[in-house]
Amino acid sequence: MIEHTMEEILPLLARQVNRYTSGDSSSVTNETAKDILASIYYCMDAYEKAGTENQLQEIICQREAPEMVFEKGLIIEKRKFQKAKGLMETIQKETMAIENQAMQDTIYYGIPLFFQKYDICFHACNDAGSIDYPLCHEIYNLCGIDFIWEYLKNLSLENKLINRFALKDINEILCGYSEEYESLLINVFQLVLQNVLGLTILNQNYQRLSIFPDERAYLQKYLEKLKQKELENLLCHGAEKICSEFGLDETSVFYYKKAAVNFSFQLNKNLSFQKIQSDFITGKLLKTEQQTEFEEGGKMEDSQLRKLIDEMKICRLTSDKTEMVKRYIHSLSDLKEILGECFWGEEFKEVLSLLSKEEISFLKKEIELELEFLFGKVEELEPWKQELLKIESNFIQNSSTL
Amino acid sequence: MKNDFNLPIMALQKEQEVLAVKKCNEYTKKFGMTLSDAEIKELMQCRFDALKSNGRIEFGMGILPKLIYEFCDSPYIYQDNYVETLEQLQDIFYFFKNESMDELSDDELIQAMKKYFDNECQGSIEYLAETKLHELCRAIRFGNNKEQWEAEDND
Repeated sequence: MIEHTMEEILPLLARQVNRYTSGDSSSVTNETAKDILASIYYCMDAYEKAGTENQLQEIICQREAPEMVFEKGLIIEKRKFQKAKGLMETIQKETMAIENQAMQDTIYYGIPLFFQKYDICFHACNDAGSIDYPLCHEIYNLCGIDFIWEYLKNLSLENKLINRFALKDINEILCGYSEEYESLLINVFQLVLQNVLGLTILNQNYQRLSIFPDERAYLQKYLEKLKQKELENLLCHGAEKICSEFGLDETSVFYYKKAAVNFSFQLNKNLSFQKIQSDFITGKLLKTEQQTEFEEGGKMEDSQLRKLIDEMKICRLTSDKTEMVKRYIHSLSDLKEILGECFWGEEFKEVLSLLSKEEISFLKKEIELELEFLFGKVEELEPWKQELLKIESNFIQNSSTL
Repeated sequence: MKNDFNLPIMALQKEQEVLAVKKCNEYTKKFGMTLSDAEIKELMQCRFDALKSNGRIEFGMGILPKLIYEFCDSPYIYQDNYVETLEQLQDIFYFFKNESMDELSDDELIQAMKKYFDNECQGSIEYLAETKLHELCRAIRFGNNKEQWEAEDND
Protein backbone atom coordinates (compact mmCIF):
# COMPACT_ATOMS: atom_id res chain seq x y z
CA MET A 1 0.00 0.00 0.00
CA ILE A 2 1.36 3.41 -0.94
CA GLU A 3 1.26 6.07 1.76
CA HIS A 4 0.98 9.58 0.43
CA THR A 5 1.99 12.27 2.90
CA MET A 6 -0.59 14.65 4.31
CA GLU A 7 1.11 17.56 2.51
CA GLU A 8 0.55 15.74 -0.80
CA ILE A 9 -3.08 14.98 -0.01
CA LEU A 10 -4.02 18.43 1.32
CA PRO A 11 -4.39 20.26 -2.02
CA LEU A 12 -6.65 17.41 -3.16
CA LEU A 13 -8.65 17.65 0.05
CA ALA A 14 -8.99 21.43 -0.40
CA ARG A 15 -10.23 20.88 -3.96
CA GLN A 16 -12.76 18.27 -2.85
CA VAL A 17 -14.00 20.47 0.00
CA ASN A 18 -14.47 23.29 -2.48
CA ARG A 19 -16.46 20.92 -4.72
CA TYR A 20 -18.50 19.75 -1.75
CA THR A 21 -19.53 23.28 -0.76
CA SER A 22 -19.80 24.38 -4.43
CA GLY A 23 -17.52 27.26 -3.46
CA ASP A 24 -20.19 28.66 -1.12
CA SER A 25 -18.26 28.04 2.05
CA SER A 26 -14.56 28.22 2.83
CA SER A 27 -14.87 26.01 5.91
CA VAL A 28 -16.52 22.71 6.77
CA THR A 29 -17.00 20.82 10.01
CA ASN A 30 -14.26 18.42 11.08
CA GLU A 31 -16.63 15.48 10.53
CA THR A 32 -17.31 16.51 6.94
CA ALA A 33 -13.60 17.02 6.29
CA LYS A 34 -12.87 13.58 7.75
CA ASP A 35 -15.53 12.00 5.53
CA ILE A 36 -14.12 13.69 2.45
CA LEU A 37 -10.56 12.71 3.36
CA ALA A 38 -11.69 9.13 3.98
CA SER A 39 -13.36 9.14 0.54
CA ILE A 40 -10.10 10.26 -1.04
CA TYR A 41 -8.18 7.43 0.61
CA TYR A 42 -10.98 5.02 -0.28
CA CYS A 43 -10.73 5.78 -4.00
CA MET A 44 -6.93 5.79 -3.95
CA ASP A 45 -6.95 2.39 -2.25
CA ALA A 46 -9.35 1.09 -4.92
CA TYR A 47 -6.91 2.07 -7.66
CA GLU A 48 -3.96 0.56 -5.84
CA LYS A 49 -5.86 -2.66 -5.10
CA ALA A 50 -7.12 -2.93 -8.67
CA GLY A 51 -3.61 -3.65 -9.86
CA THR A 52 -2.49 -6.11 -7.22
CA GLU A 53 -1.92 -8.81 -9.83
CA ASN A 54 0.41 -6.46 -11.61
CA GLN A 55 3.18 -5.63 -9.16
CA LEU A 56 4.29 -2.71 -11.29
CA GLN A 57 1.05 -0.95 -10.30
CA GLU A 58 2.52 -0.04 -6.93
CA ILE A 59 5.52 1.61 -8.53
CA ILE A 60 3.29 3.45 -10.99
CA CYS A 61 1.10 4.69 -8.12
CA GLN A 62 4.13 6.02 -6.33
CA ARG A 63 5.06 8.10 -9.37
CA GLU A 64 1.55 9.38 -10.06
CA ALA A 65 0.20 12.48 -8.36
CA PRO A 66 -2.45 11.83 -5.69
CA GLU A 67 -5.01 13.66 -7.84
CA MET A 68 -4.47 11.19 -10.68
CA VAL A 69 -4.60 8.17 -8.39
CA PHE A 70 -7.80 9.51 -6.83
CA GLU A 71 -9.48 10.20 -10.18
CA LYS A 72 -8.63 6.74 -11.50
CA GLY A 73 -9.82 5.13 -8.27
CA LEU A 74 -13.03 7.12 -8.51
CA ILE A 75 -13.68 5.73 -12.00
CA ILE A 76 -13.12 2.18 -10.72
CA GLU A 77 -15.52 2.70 -7.84
CA LYS A 78 -18.16 4.31 -10.07
CA ARG A 79 -18.01 1.30 -12.39
CA LYS A 80 -18.35 -0.98 -9.40
CA PHE A 81 -21.39 1.03 -8.32
CA GLN A 82 -23.07 0.48 -11.71
CA LYS A 83 -22.20 -3.22 -11.70
CA ALA A 84 -23.57 -3.60 -8.19
CA LYS A 85 -26.77 -1.84 -9.21
CA GLY A 86 -27.21 -4.29 -12.08
CA LEU A 87 -26.58 -7.22 -9.78
CA MET A 88 -29.12 -5.86 -7.31
CA GLU A 89 -31.76 -5.70 -10.04
CA THR A 90 -31.01 -9.31 -11.05
CA ILE A 91 -31.26 -10.43 -7.44
CA GLN A 92 -34.56 -8.61 -7.02
CA LYS A 93 -35.96 -10.46 -10.02
CA GLU A 94 -34.67 -13.84 -8.84
CA THR A 95 -35.51 -13.66 -5.16
CA MET A 96 -38.53 -15.63 -4.06
CA ALA A 97 -41.19 -14.26 -1.75
CA ILE A 98 -39.74 -16.02 1.29
CA GLU A 99 -41.64 -15.01 4.38
CA ASN A 100 -38.82 -13.34 6.24
CA GLN A 101 -39.16 -9.64 6.82
CA ALA A 102 -35.44 -8.87 7.18
CA MET A 103 -34.68 -10.61 3.89
CA GLN A 104 -37.48 -8.94 1.92
CA ASP A 105 -36.86 -5.50 3.45
CA THR A 106 -33.14 -5.66 2.77
CA ILE A 107 -33.53 -6.74 -0.84
CA TYR A 108 -36.44 -4.53 -1.82
CA TYR A 109 -35.91 -1.53 0.44
CA GLY A 110 -32.52 -1.43 2.23
CA ILE A 111 -30.20 -2.05 -0.70
CA PRO A 112 -32.07 0.22 -3.18
CA LEU A 113 -31.88 2.91 -0.50
CA PHE A 114 -28.11 2.55 -0.58
CA PHE A 115 -28.04 3.20 -4.31
CA GLN A 116 -30.22 6.28 -3.86
CA LYS A 117 -28.17 7.84 -1.09
CA TYR A 118 -24.60 6.69 -1.56
CA ASP A 119 -22.09 9.42 -2.38
CA ILE A 120 -18.77 8.01 -3.54
CA CYS A 121 -17.03 11.42 -3.84
CA PHE A 122 -17.69 12.76 -0.37
CA HIS A 123 -19.06 9.99 1.84
CA ALA A 124 -17.53 6.83 0.38
CA CYS A 125 -17.22 5.03 3.71
CA ASN A 126 -20.79 5.62 4.84
CA ASP A 127 -23.10 2.65 4.79
CA ALA A 128 -26.04 4.51 3.36
CA GLY A 129 -28.47 1.59 3.01
CA SER A 130 -30.30 -0.43 5.60
CA ILE A 131 -28.86 -3.94 5.54
CA ASP A 132 -30.41 -6.16 8.20
CA TYR A 133 -30.51 -9.59 6.59
CA PRO A 134 -27.49 -11.59 7.79
CA LEU A 135 -25.50 -13.56 5.25
CA CYS A 136 -24.03 -16.96 5.94
CA HIS A 137 -20.52 -15.47 6.11
CA GLU A 138 -20.19 -12.10 7.73
CA ILE A 139 -18.29 -9.46 5.74
CA TYR A 140 -15.46 -7.81 7.64
CA ASN A 141 -13.32 -4.72 7.03
CA LEU A 142 -15.32 -3.39 4.11
CA CYS A 143 -17.53 -0.34 3.85
CA GLY A 144 -19.40 1.67 1.25
CA ILE A 145 -19.77 0.24 -2.24
CA ASP A 146 -17.10 -2.41 -1.59
CA PHE A 147 -19.27 -3.81 1.18
CA ILE A 148 -22.46 -3.73 -0.90
CA TRP A 149 -20.72 -5.34 -3.88
CA GLU A 150 -19.42 -8.17 -1.70
CA TYR A 151 -22.80 -8.50 0.01
CA LEU A 152 -24.65 -8.74 -3.31
CA LYS A 153 -22.19 -11.27 -4.73
CA ASN A 154 -22.61 -13.48 -1.68
CA LEU A 155 -26.39 -13.05 -1.69
CA SER A 156 -26.43 -14.12 -5.32
CA LEU A 157 -24.42 -17.25 -4.46
CA GLU A 158 -26.87 -18.05 -1.68
CA ASN A 159 -29.84 -17.55 -3.99
CA LYS A 160 -28.44 -20.11 -6.40
CA LEU A 161 -29.23 -22.82 -3.87
CA ILE A 162 -32.42 -21.34 -2.45
CA ASN A 163 -33.97 -20.92 -5.90
CA ARG A 164 -33.72 -24.67 -6.55
CA PHE A 165 -36.49 -25.36 -4.08
CA ALA A 166 -40.20 -24.66 -3.93
CA LEU A 167 -41.14 -21.54 -2.02
CA LYS A 168 -43.64 -23.44 0.10
CA ASP A 169 -41.02 -25.98 1.20
CA ILE A 170 -38.57 -23.23 2.20
CA ASN A 171 -41.22 -21.39 4.17
CA GLU A 172 -42.18 -24.62 5.91
CA ILE A 173 -38.55 -25.25 6.87
CA LEU A 174 -38.34 -21.75 8.32
CA CYS A 175 -41.56 -22.38 10.21
CA GLY A 176 -40.12 -25.64 11.49
CA TYR A 177 -37.06 -23.75 12.70
CA SER A 178 -39.14 -21.23 14.62
CA GLU A 179 -42.75 -20.11 14.49
CA GLU A 180 -41.45 -16.55 14.64
CA TYR A 181 -39.58 -17.10 11.38
CA GLU A 182 -41.07 -14.03 9.75
CA SER A 183 -39.40 -11.59 12.11
CA LEU A 184 -36.18 -13.46 12.94
CA LEU A 185 -32.76 -12.35 11.72
CA ILE A 186 -31.84 -15.73 10.25
CA ASN A 187 -29.93 -16.76 7.16
CA VAL A 188 -32.27 -18.79 4.96
CA PHE A 189 -29.44 -20.25 2.87
CA GLN A 190 -27.75 -21.72 5.97
CA LEU A 191 -30.94 -23.52 7.04
CA VAL A 192 -31.63 -24.82 3.55
CA LEU A 193 -28.05 -26.00 3.09
CA GLN A 194 -28.08 -27.79 6.45
CA ASN A 195 -31.15 -29.76 5.49
CA VAL A 196 -29.84 -30.52 2.02
CA LEU A 197 -26.60 -31.78 3.57
CA GLY A 198 -28.65 -33.92 5.96
CA LEU A 199 -30.63 -35.39 3.07
CA THR A 200 -27.37 -36.05 1.18
CA ILE A 201 -26.06 -38.05 4.11
CA LEU A 202 -29.39 -39.92 4.25
CA ASN A 203 -29.15 -40.46 0.51
CA GLN A 204 -32.66 -39.05 0.07
CA ASN A 205 -34.14 -36.78 -2.56
CA TYR A 206 -33.21 -33.12 -1.79
CA GLN A 207 -36.34 -31.64 -3.21
CA ARG A 208 -38.57 -32.40 -0.29
CA LEU A 209 -36.15 -30.44 1.90
CA SER A 210 -37.78 -31.50 5.15
CA ILE A 211 -36.07 -34.07 7.40
CA PHE A 212 -38.45 -36.29 9.33
CA PRO A 213 -37.96 -37.05 13.05
CA ASP A 214 -36.99 -40.69 12.48
CA GLU A 215 -34.40 -39.56 9.92
CA ARG A 216 -33.06 -37.05 12.41
CA ALA A 217 -32.74 -39.81 14.99
CA TYR A 218 -30.78 -41.84 12.47
CA LEU A 219 -28.51 -38.86 11.72
CA GLN A 220 -27.89 -38.38 15.45
CA LYS A 221 -26.83 -42.01 15.81
CA TYR A 222 -24.72 -41.98 12.67
CA LEU A 223 -23.00 -38.61 13.13
CA GLU A 224 -22.31 -38.68 16.86
CA LYS A 225 -19.71 -41.36 16.28
CA LEU A 226 -17.69 -39.10 14.00
CA LYS A 227 -14.86 -36.83 15.10
CA GLN A 228 -14.89 -33.14 14.22
CA LYS A 229 -12.52 -33.58 11.27
CA GLU A 230 -14.51 -36.53 9.90
CA LEU A 231 -17.73 -34.58 10.25
CA GLU A 232 -16.15 -31.63 8.48
CA ASN A 233 -14.97 -33.84 5.62
CA LEU A 234 -18.35 -35.52 5.31
CA LEU A 235 -20.19 -32.19 5.11
CA CYS A 236 -17.64 -30.67 2.70
CA HIS A 237 -18.01 -33.71 0.48
CA GLY A 238 -21.78 -33.24 0.65
CA ALA A 239 -21.44 -29.57 -0.30
CA GLU A 240 -19.27 -30.50 -3.29
CA LYS A 241 -21.81 -33.11 -4.35
CA ILE A 242 -24.67 -30.62 -4.17
CA CYS A 243 -22.72 -28.07 -6.22
CA SER A 244 -21.84 -30.60 -8.91
CA GLU A 245 -25.44 -31.87 -9.09
CA PHE A 246 -26.76 -28.33 -9.42
CA GLY A 247 -23.99 -27.41 -11.86
CA LEU A 248 -22.66 -24.54 -9.75
CA ASP A 249 -19.33 -22.84 -10.37
CA GLU A 250 -16.06 -22.86 -8.38
CA THR A 251 -16.94 -19.73 -6.40
CA SER A 252 -20.13 -21.39 -5.18
CA VAL A 253 -18.25 -24.56 -4.26
CA PHE A 254 -15.82 -22.53 -2.15
CA TYR A 255 -18.65 -20.58 -0.51
CA TYR A 256 -20.78 -23.68 0.21
CA LYS A 257 -17.82 -25.64 1.55
CA LYS A 258 -16.94 -22.78 3.88
CA ALA A 259 -20.56 -22.82 5.10
CA ALA A 260 -20.34 -26.60 5.55
CA VAL A 261 -17.18 -26.24 7.66
CA ASN A 262 -18.85 -23.65 9.90
CA PHE A 263 -21.88 -25.90 10.17
CA SER A 264 -19.72 -28.86 11.21
CA PHE A 265 -18.60 -27.04 14.39
CA GLN A 266 -22.15 -26.09 15.31
CA LEU A 267 -23.40 -29.60 14.53
CA ASN A 268 -20.65 -31.31 16.49
CA LYS A 269 -21.59 -29.30 19.54
CA ASN A 270 -25.32 -29.94 19.15
CA LEU A 271 -24.74 -33.67 18.56
CA SER A 272 -23.03 -33.92 21.93
CA PHE A 273 -26.12 -32.37 23.56
CA GLN A 274 -28.42 -34.50 21.40
CA LYS A 275 -30.15 -31.35 20.19
CA ILE A 276 -30.05 -31.30 16.42
CA GLN A 277 -33.65 -30.19 15.84
CA SER A 278 -32.51 -26.81 14.60
CA ASP A 279 -29.73 -28.33 12.47
CA PHE A 280 -31.88 -30.82 10.58
CA ILE A 281 -35.31 -29.27 10.49
CA THR A 282 -38.70 -30.86 10.00
CA GLY A 283 -40.93 -28.64 7.90
CA LYS A 284 -44.02 -27.34 9.61
CA LEU A 285 -47.31 -26.16 8.17
CA LEU A 286 -47.22 -22.41 7.70
CA LYS A 287 -49.05 -20.05 10.01
CA THR A 288 -51.30 -18.82 7.22
CA GLU A 289 -52.27 -22.35 6.23
CA GLN A 290 -52.87 -23.33 9.82
CA GLN A 291 -55.25 -20.42 10.16
CA THR A 292 -57.10 -21.03 6.91
CA GLU A 293 -58.07 -24.62 7.52
CA PHE A 294 -61.34 -25.49 5.83
CA GLU A 295 -64.48 -25.11 7.91
CA GLU A 296 -67.71 -26.70 6.82
CA GLY A 297 -70.65 -24.29 6.59
CA GLY A 298 -74.31 -24.99 7.47
CA LYS A 299 -76.00 -27.81 5.60
CA MET A 300 -79.45 -27.50 4.04
CA GLU A 301 -82.44 -29.58 5.08
CA ASP A 302 -82.80 -32.63 2.78
CA SER A 303 -86.25 -31.54 1.55
CA GLN A 304 -85.00 -28.02 0.79
CA LEU A 305 -81.97 -29.42 -1.03
CA ARG A 306 -84.17 -31.74 -3.11
CA LYS A 307 -86.41 -28.79 -4.03
CA LEU A 308 -83.38 -26.75 -5.06
CA ILE A 309 -81.98 -29.60 -7.18
CA ASP A 310 -85.31 -29.96 -9.00
CA GLU A 311 -85.42 -26.24 -9.62
CA MET A 312 -81.85 -26.17 -10.93
CA LYS A 313 -82.46 -29.13 -13.21
CA ILE A 314 -85.05 -27.19 -15.17
CA CYS A 315 -82.91 -24.05 -15.23
CA ARG A 316 -81.39 -23.47 -18.70
CA LEU A 317 -78.77 -20.78 -18.05
CA THR A 318 -75.51 -21.67 -16.27
CA SER A 319 -75.24 -18.15 -14.87
CA ASP A 320 -78.61 -18.60 -13.13
CA LYS A 321 -77.52 -21.93 -11.71
CA THR A 322 -74.23 -20.52 -10.36
CA GLU A 323 -76.17 -17.63 -8.86
CA MET A 324 -78.37 -20.13 -7.03
CA VAL A 325 -75.30 -21.95 -5.76
CA LYS A 326 -73.87 -18.68 -4.48
CA ARG A 327 -77.11 -17.81 -2.74
CA TYR A 328 -78.26 -21.11 -1.21
CA ILE A 329 -75.28 -23.46 -0.88
CA HIS A 330 -73.10 -22.99 2.19
CA SER A 331 -71.58 -26.41 2.67
CA LEU A 332 -69.36 -28.61 0.52
CA SER A 333 -71.48 -31.72 1.05
CA ASP A 334 -74.50 -29.90 -0.42
CA LEU A 335 -72.33 -28.64 -3.26
CA LYS A 336 -71.14 -32.17 -4.06
CA GLU A 337 -74.79 -33.27 -4.41
CA ILE A 338 -75.56 -30.32 -6.66
CA LEU A 339 -72.45 -30.87 -8.80
CA GLY A 340 -73.36 -34.50 -9.31
CA GLU A 341 -76.92 -33.80 -10.43
CA CYS A 342 -77.26 -30.32 -11.91
CA PHE A 343 -74.09 -29.50 -13.87
CA TRP A 344 -72.55 -30.91 -17.04
CA GLY A 345 -69.44 -30.47 -19.20
CA GLU A 346 -68.11 -26.94 -19.34
CA GLU A 347 -70.41 -25.81 -16.52
CA PHE A 348 -68.19 -27.45 -13.89
CA LYS A 349 -65.41 -24.94 -14.45
CA GLU A 350 -67.71 -22.06 -13.62
CA VAL A 351 -68.96 -23.59 -10.41
CA LEU A 352 -65.51 -24.71 -9.29
CA SER A 353 -64.13 -21.23 -9.92
CA LEU A 354 -66.40 -20.05 -7.09
CA LEU A 355 -64.43 -22.14 -4.61
CA SER A 356 -61.47 -20.95 -2.56
CA LYS A 357 -58.03 -22.60 -2.68
CA GLU A 358 -58.68 -24.31 0.66
CA GLU A 359 -62.03 -25.69 -0.49
CA ILE A 360 -60.49 -27.05 -3.69
CA SER A 361 -57.61 -28.71 -1.84
CA PHE A 362 -60.11 -30.23 0.66
CA LEU A 363 -62.19 -31.69 -2.17
CA LYS A 364 -59.05 -32.85 -3.95
CA LYS A 365 -57.89 -34.80 -0.92
CA GLU A 366 -61.27 -36.57 -0.75
CA ILE A 367 -61.12 -37.41 -4.46
CA GLU A 368 -57.58 -38.74 -4.18
CA LEU A 369 -58.70 -41.03 -1.36
CA GLU A 370 -61.53 -42.28 -3.53
CA LEU A 371 -59.09 -42.82 -6.39
CA GLU A 372 -57.04 -45.12 -4.21
CA PHE A 373 -60.12 -47.37 -3.78
CA LEU A 374 -60.66 -47.28 -7.54
CA PHE A 375 -57.03 -48.34 -8.11
CA GLY A 376 -56.28 -45.01 -9.81
CA LYS A 377 -58.96 -45.35 -12.51
CA VAL A 378 -59.84 -41.70 -13.08
CA GLU A 379 -62.48 -42.50 -15.67
CA GLU A 380 -64.59 -44.23 -12.98
CA LEU A 381 -64.89 -41.00 -11.03
CA GLU A 382 -67.94 -38.77 -11.35
CA PRO A 383 -67.47 -36.17 -14.18
CA TRP A 384 -67.19 -33.15 -11.83
CA LYS A 385 -64.45 -34.92 -9.87
CA GLN A 386 -62.49 -35.58 -13.05
CA GLU A 387 -62.87 -31.93 -13.95
CA LEU A 388 -61.65 -30.79 -10.53
CA LEU A 389 -58.52 -32.94 -10.86
CA LYS A 390 -57.84 -31.40 -14.26
CA ILE A 391 -58.22 -27.87 -12.89
CA GLU A 392 -55.87 -28.67 -10.04
CA SER A 393 -53.16 -30.12 -12.27
CA ASN A 394 -53.46 -27.15 -14.68
CA PHE A 395 -53.11 -24.78 -11.76
CA ILE A 396 -49.91 -26.50 -10.60
CA GLN A 397 -48.48 -26.48 -14.11
CA ASN A 398 -49.23 -22.79 -14.55
CA SER A 399 -47.74 -21.79 -11.24
CA SER A 400 -44.56 -23.80 -11.88
CA THR A 401 -44.04 -22.06 -15.23
CA LEU A 402 -44.39 -18.58 -13.70
CA MET B 1 -6.41 7.44 8.80
CA LYS B 2 -4.56 10.58 9.84
CA ASN B 3 -7.09 12.84 11.52
CA ASP B 4 -4.90 15.67 12.76
CA PHE B 5 -4.65 17.65 9.56
CA ASN B 6 -4.95 21.08 11.21
CA LEU B 7 -1.23 21.59 11.75
CA PRO B 8 0.08 21.20 8.18
CA ILE B 9 -2.84 23.27 6.93
CA MET B 10 -1.97 26.06 9.35
CA ALA B 11 1.64 26.09 8.20
CA LEU B 12 0.69 26.14 4.52
CA GLN B 13 -1.97 28.77 4.75
CA LYS B 14 -0.52 31.27 7.21
CA GLU B 15 1.85 33.03 4.85
CA GLN B 16 -0.66 33.40 2.02
CA GLU B 17 -3.28 34.64 4.41
CA VAL B 18 -1.10 37.30 5.98
CA LEU B 19 -0.47 38.67 2.50
CA ALA B 20 -4.19 38.67 1.66
CA VAL B 21 -5.12 40.51 4.88
CA LYS B 22 -2.31 43.03 4.37
CA LYS B 23 -3.74 43.75 0.95
CA CYS B 24 -7.05 44.71 2.63
CA ASN B 25 -5.29 47.61 4.34
CA GLU B 26 -5.07 49.39 0.99
CA TYR B 27 -8.88 49.39 0.79
CA THR B 28 -9.67 50.06 4.48
CA LYS B 29 -7.28 53.01 4.65
CA LYS B 30 -9.95 55.29 3.25
CA PHE B 31 -12.18 54.41 6.24
CA GLY B 32 -9.32 55.26 8.58
CA MET B 33 -8.52 51.72 9.63
CA THR B 34 -5.44 49.57 9.11
CA LEU B 35 -3.94 46.48 10.68
CA SER B 36 -0.32 46.17 11.74
CA ASP B 37 1.64 42.93 11.17
CA ALA B 38 1.34 42.06 14.87
CA GLU B 39 -2.41 42.61 14.77
CA ILE B 40 -2.74 40.46 11.67
CA LYS B 41 -0.86 37.65 13.40
CA GLU B 42 -3.10 38.02 16.42
CA LEU B 43 -6.18 37.81 14.21
CA MET B 44 -4.75 34.72 12.48
CA GLN B 45 -4.23 33.03 15.80
CA CYS B 46 -7.77 33.94 16.89
CA ARG B 47 -9.09 32.46 13.66
CA PHE B 48 -7.39 29.12 14.27
CA ASP B 49 -8.63 29.14 17.87
CA ALA B 50 -12.16 29.88 16.67
CA LEU B 51 -11.98 27.10 14.09
CA LYS B 52 -10.69 24.67 16.66
CA SER B 53 -13.25 25.55 19.33
CA ASN B 54 -16.08 25.32 16.78
CA GLY B 55 -14.82 22.03 15.31
CA ARG B 56 -14.28 23.33 11.82
CA ILE B 57 -11.56 23.27 9.21
CA GLU B 58 -10.93 25.95 6.59
CA PHE B 59 -9.13 25.97 3.28
CA GLY B 60 -8.09 28.87 1.09
CA MET B 61 -7.75 32.46 2.18
CA GLY B 62 -9.99 32.19 5.20
CA ILE B 63 -12.92 34.38 6.09
CA LEU B 64 -11.01 37.38 7.43
CA PRO B 65 -10.57 39.31 4.16
CA LYS B 66 -14.29 38.95 3.43
CA LEU B 67 -15.19 40.18 6.91
CA ILE B 68 -12.85 43.14 6.56
CA TYR B 69 -14.25 44.21 3.18
CA GLU B 70 -17.86 43.87 4.42
CA PHE B 71 -17.51 45.56 7.82
CA CYS B 72 -14.90 48.25 7.17
CA ASP B 73 -17.55 50.82 6.24
CA SER B 74 -19.67 50.19 9.33
CA PRO B 75 -20.36 53.31 11.38
CA TYR B 76 -19.80 51.31 14.56
CA ILE B 77 -16.23 50.25 13.76
CA TYR B 78 -13.24 52.53 14.15
CA GLN B 79 -9.52 52.03 14.54
CA ASP B 80 -9.63 51.58 18.34
CA ASN B 81 -12.13 48.71 18.31
CA TYR B 82 -11.20 47.38 14.85
CA VAL B 83 -9.10 44.35 15.88
CA GLU B 84 -11.30 43.42 18.82
CA THR B 85 -14.47 43.60 16.68
CA LEU B 86 -12.90 41.51 13.91
CA GLU B 87 -11.86 38.86 16.44
CA GLN B 88 -15.41 38.64 17.80
CA LEU B 89 -16.96 38.66 14.34
CA GLN B 90 -14.70 35.79 13.26
CA ASP B 91 -15.65 33.81 16.31
CA ILE B 92 -19.41 34.20 15.93
CA PHE B 93 -19.13 33.58 12.19
CA TYR B 94 -17.84 30.03 12.67
CA PHE B 95 -20.25 29.45 15.54
CA PHE B 96 -23.26 30.38 13.40
CA LYS B 97 -21.98 28.38 10.44
CA ASN B 98 -22.39 25.36 12.69
CA GLU B 99 -25.70 26.59 14.07
CA SER B 100 -27.11 26.96 10.57
CA MET B 101 -25.91 23.42 9.77
CA ASP B 102 -23.91 24.89 6.88
CA GLU B 103 -27.15 25.76 5.13
CA LEU B 104 -26.11 29.40 4.89
CA SER B 105 -23.25 30.20 2.54
CA ASP B 106 -20.35 32.39 3.75
CA ASP B 107 -21.63 35.40 1.85
CA GLU B 108 -25.22 35.01 3.06
CA LEU B 109 -24.12 34.80 6.68
CA ILE B 110 -21.71 37.75 6.44
CA GLN B 111 -24.34 39.90 4.72
CA ALA B 112 -26.90 39.05 7.40
CA MET B 113 -24.36 39.81 10.15
CA LYS B 114 -23.55 43.20 8.61
CA LYS B 115 -27.19 44.12 8.06
CA TYR B 116 -28.21 43.50 11.68
CA PHE B 117 -24.93 44.81 13.14
CA ASP B 118 -25.43 48.19 11.48
CA ASN B 119 -29.18 48.39 12.09
CA GLU B 120 -31.04 46.66 14.93
CA CYS B 121 -27.94 45.78 16.90
CA GLN B 122 -26.30 49.19 16.59
CA GLY B 123 -22.80 47.75 16.69
CA SER B 124 -23.41 45.30 19.58
CA ILE B 125 -21.96 41.89 18.77
CA GLU B 126 -23.56 40.40 21.88
CA TYR B 127 -26.99 41.53 20.75
CA LEU B 128 -26.29 40.32 17.22
CA ALA B 129 -25.30 36.84 18.40
CA GLU B 130 -27.98 36.35 21.00
CA THR B 131 -30.98 37.64 19.11
CA LYS B 132 -30.90 38.05 15.35
CA LEU B 133 -28.40 35.40 14.28
CA HIS B 134 -29.80 32.99 16.80
CA GLU B 135 -33.31 33.43 15.40
CA LEU B 136 -32.11 33.24 11.82
CA CYS B 137 -30.26 29.96 12.38
CA ARG B 138 -33.20 28.48 14.25
CA ALA B 139 -35.46 29.32 11.31
CA ILE B 140 -32.93 27.73 8.94
CA ARG B 141 -32.85 24.55 11.03
CA PHE B 142 -36.64 24.41 10.83
CA GLY B 143 -36.38 24.35 7.07
CA ASN B 144 -36.95 28.00 6.11
CA ASN B 145 -34.52 29.81 3.88
CA LYS B 146 -32.93 33.17 4.65
CA GLU B 147 -35.32 35.17 2.47
CA GLN B 148 -38.41 33.58 4.04
CA TRP B 149 -37.15 34.37 7.52
CA GLU B 150 -36.27 37.94 6.61
CA ALA B 151 -39.73 38.46 5.13
CA GLU B 152 -41.36 37.08 8.31
CA ASP B 153 -39.02 39.15 10.47
CA ASN B 154 -39.92 42.36 8.61
CA ASP B 155 -43.64 41.64 9.10
